[in-house]
Amino acid sequence: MMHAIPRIQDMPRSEGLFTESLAAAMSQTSDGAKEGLRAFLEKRPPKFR
Amino acid sequence: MADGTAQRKVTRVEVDGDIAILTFDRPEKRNAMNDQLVAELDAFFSAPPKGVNAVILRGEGGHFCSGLDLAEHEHRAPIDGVYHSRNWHRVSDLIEFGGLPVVSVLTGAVIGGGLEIAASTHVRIAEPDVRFQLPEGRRGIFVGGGATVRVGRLIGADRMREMMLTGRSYGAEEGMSLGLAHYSVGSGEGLELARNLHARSLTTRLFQTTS
Repeated sequence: MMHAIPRIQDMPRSEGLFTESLAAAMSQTSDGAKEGLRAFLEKRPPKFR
Repeated sequence: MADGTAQRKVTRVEVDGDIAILTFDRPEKRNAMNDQLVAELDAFFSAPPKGVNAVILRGEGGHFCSGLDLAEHEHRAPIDGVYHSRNWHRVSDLIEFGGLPVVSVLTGAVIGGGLEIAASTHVRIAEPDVRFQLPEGRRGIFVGGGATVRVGRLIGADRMREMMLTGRSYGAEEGMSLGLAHYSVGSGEGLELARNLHARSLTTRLFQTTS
């Protein structure tokens, strides 16, 4: 997902915004992402495998 | 609300002369952006009060906005996340392109979505305790409110990537040199500068309607 950032910079604005939305939604789907978020809400360190 | 009770608003609007001051009012959550806050911003910028020629955004309780309300976000399905993010883009476009100059007074947390909102305002005034941060990488989420486009264009994609990778923050002085803020003032002085800038601004006069 880090790769999306420089690519988005090279896109016209509205295309960049659309891509950002897709990247954001995709980022949420990994187990690591879910654990990171859950850990934050529970105020504890995340347990990544 | 489903049970019919009135929902407490999470923003407060005061109109002073031809300036509207919109205050985020969820201090217990450091003004985190929940759906209601986005909806109230949408309603305001879609139909600002008559006679208003400028808007000042600020946060109650010392923090501007600590970003997306993650508790609300957690159980959102990915496709709902896309709609949510696109809606947020639409509202921040209303702020940036709605026709009114918008000044933000940046105190405390200007984090994630809060930085995205700030980046859609036209004039950004930082106070000494400000902290600009994009900690999404550490929380397992990506920005979704336009930061890649707006913040990336302000500070460059490379610095933005570093902010997200490391979760580091910038204060008022560094933030100003990077373009995250236009002004750096003393504690409590932001609102007054915002008013003075509007009073001195010719642009708002040029585009003022006379009706």
